[in-house]
Amino acid sequence: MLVDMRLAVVGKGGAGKSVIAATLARTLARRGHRVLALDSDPLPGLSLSLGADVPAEPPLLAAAERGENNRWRFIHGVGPVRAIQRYATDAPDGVRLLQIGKVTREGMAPVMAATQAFYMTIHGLGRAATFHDWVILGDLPAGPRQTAFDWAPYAERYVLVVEPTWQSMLTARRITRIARAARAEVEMSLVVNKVAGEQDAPRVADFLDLPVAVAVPVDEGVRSAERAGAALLDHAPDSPVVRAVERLADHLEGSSIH
Amino acid sequence: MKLAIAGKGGSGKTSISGTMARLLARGGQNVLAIDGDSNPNLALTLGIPAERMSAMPVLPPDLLRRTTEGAELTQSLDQIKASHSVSGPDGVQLLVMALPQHANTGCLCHMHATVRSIIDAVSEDGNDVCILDTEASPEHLSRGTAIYADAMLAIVEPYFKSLETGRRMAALANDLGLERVALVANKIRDERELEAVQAFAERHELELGGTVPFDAGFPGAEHAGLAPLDFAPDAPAIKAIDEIAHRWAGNGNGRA
Repeated sequence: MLVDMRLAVVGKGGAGKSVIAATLARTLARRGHRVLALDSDPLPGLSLSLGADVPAEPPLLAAAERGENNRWRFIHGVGPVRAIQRYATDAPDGVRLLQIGKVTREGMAPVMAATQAFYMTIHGLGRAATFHDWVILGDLPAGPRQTAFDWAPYAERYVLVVEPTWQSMLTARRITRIARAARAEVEMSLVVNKVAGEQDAPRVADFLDLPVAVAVPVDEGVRSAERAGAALLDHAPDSPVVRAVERLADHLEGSSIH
Repeated sequence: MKLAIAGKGGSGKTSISGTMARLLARGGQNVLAIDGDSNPNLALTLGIPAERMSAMPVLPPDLLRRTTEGAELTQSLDQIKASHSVSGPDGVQLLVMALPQHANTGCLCHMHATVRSIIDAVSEDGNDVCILDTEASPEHLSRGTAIYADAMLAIVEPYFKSLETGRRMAALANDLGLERVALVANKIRDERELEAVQAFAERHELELGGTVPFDAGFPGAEHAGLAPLDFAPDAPAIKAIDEIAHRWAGNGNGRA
């Protein structure tokens, strides 16, 4: 099956981006899609929610070097496609995971090569033929900053994860405005998360003027998985959030070009 | 006292920052709250209604001038407060660092540097308090935004991602040379969760600077778009934050 799913999961910190992104990545992989998960958060998150073992040092460190004028460039023989083929790591259900450098005790400086390689990779990824039938799914850090600085150039659809709270709704509106100012044609799928009452999802939809793709209930399984530091799919496979993500996968498959 | 509040997104940084600022102001201190998050929501938890937020002044870029000796503010702190702050309940004054409106608006490094200089300019008088609410990323540490803070509290929830984020931020703050860095346990539901945070703090040789219980009043306030202090003034979490605020930033008298 040919699909055309280029997704960026965005929202306020704590809205549930990583849990939904990770569960979605594995759900789509189980349905037979090839999935590349892009983790552009310098703080830990997506790999834990995927249940993936990650190397202590980001593999992408080896992919970039400083060239003339001290500017970063890929090492010889590596471009965006090969960077993914060589430096992405395995996650459960066959998902491939490419990670940005993570902040260390010395800040971002020691992992700058990985950060630069990640940025060059996602910008060069574009319509690379090698990945034309892959699902590309990015998990962005909290807030609108990476959207403003073009950290999801591959995204044709934003999956907005929003709680029915004012901070979360205001954040989502900022992200939507910035994303549309950059590219008017970008699609939005609204996921209302941690829904407790009947009015929660419609309230968010009204505020953002977007239809609800999926409403995800408050779920004890997520809290328990987070406390255990485990992937939701492994920790609580029958939880309502897993079922809601199945519906999100249906929605995305239905919305993409086959 | 100049206090930076950090932590993972959703950990409760902004709710705690806003509530601390109000409670210290009620106790008679002069409180300057700085929203150093490029996704600014501090106004909400201070009790400034969402409707007013679209008209909120944001710090202009021309407050900082580069000189041969480094950077200096082009206006006095009083002038900056007079022209660019918003007054919130209990007399808290709020400065908002940035609100990116467009894609590719340019780097925020200059605005981080501006905030850094503003914090430096706040007096060290015990009656003056500056509360910096930070971004849900290590930006404020890697860019040194919080370098002139006296202390940083990293707000953590009792689960691994949140604790690990707090630990990394605490390590960066230590390296930045902040005098005191501590974790504050938030949304604690029972003894077991508190013990988990205590064990984590001990293992990484971090101070536990306070504990705030889980309190349904806080999500309630967020749903209603109100400051926790206005929505649930008698909530146990408010009492805990009051105690932490005065222990870390009080002037030694005039408890609220």
